[in-house]
Amino acid sequence: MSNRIKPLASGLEALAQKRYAEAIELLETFCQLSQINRDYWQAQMSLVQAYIGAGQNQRAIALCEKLLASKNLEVRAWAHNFITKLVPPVLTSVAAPQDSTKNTVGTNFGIKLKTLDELKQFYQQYLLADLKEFEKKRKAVVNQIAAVGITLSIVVLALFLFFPYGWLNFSTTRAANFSFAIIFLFLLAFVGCMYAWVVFYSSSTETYVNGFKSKIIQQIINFIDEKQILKYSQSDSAEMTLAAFEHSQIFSGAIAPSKITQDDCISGTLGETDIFFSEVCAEIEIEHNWINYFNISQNLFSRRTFDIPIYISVFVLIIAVFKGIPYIIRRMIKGQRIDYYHFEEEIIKNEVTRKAVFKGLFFQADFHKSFQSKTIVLPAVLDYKIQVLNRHRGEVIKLEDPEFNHLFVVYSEDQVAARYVLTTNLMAKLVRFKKKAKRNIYVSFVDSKIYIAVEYAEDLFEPLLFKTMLGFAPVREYFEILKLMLGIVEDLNLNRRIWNG
Amino acid sequence: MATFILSVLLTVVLIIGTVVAILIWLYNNLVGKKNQVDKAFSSIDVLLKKRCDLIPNLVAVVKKYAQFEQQTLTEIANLRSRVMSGQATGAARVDLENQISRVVGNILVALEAYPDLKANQNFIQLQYSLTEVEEQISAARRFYNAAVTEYNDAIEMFPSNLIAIAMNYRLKKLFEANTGDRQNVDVGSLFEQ
Repeated sequence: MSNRIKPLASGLEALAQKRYAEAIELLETFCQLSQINRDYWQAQMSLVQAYIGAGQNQRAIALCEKLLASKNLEVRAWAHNFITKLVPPVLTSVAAPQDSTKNTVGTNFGIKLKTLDELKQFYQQYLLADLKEFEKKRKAVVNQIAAVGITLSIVVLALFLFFPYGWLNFSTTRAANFSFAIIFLFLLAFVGCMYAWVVFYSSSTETYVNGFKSKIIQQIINFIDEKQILKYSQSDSAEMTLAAFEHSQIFSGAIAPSKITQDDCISGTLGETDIFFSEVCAEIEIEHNWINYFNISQNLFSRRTFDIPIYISVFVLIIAVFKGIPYIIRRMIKGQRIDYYHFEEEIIKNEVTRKAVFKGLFFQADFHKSFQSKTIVLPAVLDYKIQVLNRHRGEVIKLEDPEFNHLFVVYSEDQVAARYVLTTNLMAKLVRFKKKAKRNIYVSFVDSKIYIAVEYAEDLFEPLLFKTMLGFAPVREYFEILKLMLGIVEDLNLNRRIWNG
Repeated sequence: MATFILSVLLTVVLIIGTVVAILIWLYNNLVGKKNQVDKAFSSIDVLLKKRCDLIPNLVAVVKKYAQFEQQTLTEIANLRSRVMSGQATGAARVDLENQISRVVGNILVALEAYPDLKANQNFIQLQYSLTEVEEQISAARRFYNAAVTEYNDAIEMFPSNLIAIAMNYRLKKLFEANTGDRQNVDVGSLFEQ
């Protein structure tokens, strides 16, 4: 119909003759009257050009974005192409979105990072019921522990009161041996009480903590992860994490850990990136081989009890007492769990000492660029800046971003590869991430993988014995931690795959 | 008397020894930094060659789409052969490489209008490789700038500037964007190509 065609043709003519204002007017009228057909899209595209010509860049961009969402493939390609040209031409053009499922702009790959208000609602509607059950269990456990605690303290008190001080006589060797034997028996009884107490305490807290993790934490994860992308398991085999930890070489050389305990593993694929993170505690073990000679429990049950001089046994028991009591008291005051195996191996049997090298969250993912070297980013604290200690990590790389240099120190074997990985963009993103987390962060890029270790001093995801479980604060804390970790993919833009790899 | 002379001699020897040691250290440091600059420059060179190797692939893939302007393709093939022949050096070489960057950029942007080409697996792979090589070139340039800054610092700061003057070392120039790249892009003219 001539009425419709005329504005389009004259609009295009006006555009060709650079009469932009007129072109805009004609084309807008045409678009309002026209149906969605080929001409309409033609008019829209010309309208964008007219806006640019007239200097109205903002309207052009807005219209382009509208065109990006159209159903027509060619129009989308054109709009995408046009938008990338409005930015200075760096080679950032990506294959135009062919189908909408691959378009990750503006979505969070099925993980909706909810707000705190939504969390509060969820908490009140669904979590409170379960939490009340656990609260009852907790109170029952507290009562039990109080009861057993009182009984045991009475026993210990009796031991102290009825200790035969009068019989202690160190004048002759025989009398001395006898006195030591008495002290030995007394200490043995005391250690036995400690042991019994720890066994009871750890088994009773174990029951309600496990139930808590599997129910509550799983529910929080399902709340965030509507499409069930993430998999949560309470304790996976720690071997793979130990291998990854060693591969990352964040803690290497003298402080390379030999043992890792892992809790609360979450894995999944966000967009195109596979991620895996868990709460780890990495420790160095120092074995006490000398203790094998004085292994009391072994000796007790063979007939060789009094082959070792009695005062050595007393000495060993005193070590156990001096290590055990502070440990128990410290854990109980905070209401944390007492790890039974740690207690048995380190304190009673005194076979190993373990020193924690790193405690916190460890995150692994595939990086979006491929490279063969290692680059390690460490917090800029004194021991990492000392070049002599860190010579095995490579050279110090001095990068351009001053804020980044203030917060981190970078070691790498290859200067060009380090800068290829740590672009100015990524450096800014790391700085922002560190400010978000407010903790020490260690990052490592090795063989096309990225590892991030975030240091947390306290146990995560653990309910405390003497605090009520109905509070919103712990739930909020777990939620913030999950958000932080899951947000890494978005924050560092790991899904932008425009390079080989 | 003898011990006095001996002690004076010893002190003098020690002082001279320390001064010589410091001079040697400064000299080595300076030479090390100069070599670092050369190493950085050659790493840029390696990556530029790598980009040159990708150009024939680009031309081959695009040629099939006959509508695409043959003129641009021949232009880039010419630029490449000039670089590979090795005749251009110094400023002329830098100029050539900048031209190559610009033309490749324009080609890739203009190809956005060909959706079937965009879906071609070979082309996508090629695009990824080109992006990767461009980023690596940019990383190598940053390395070069860092090395040159360190070298220039060493030349200008006391006390190594004394040695630098003695050895006739000159300041080196950093990589800068030339005025052509710094201008804002004229979107309209890109369209009319």
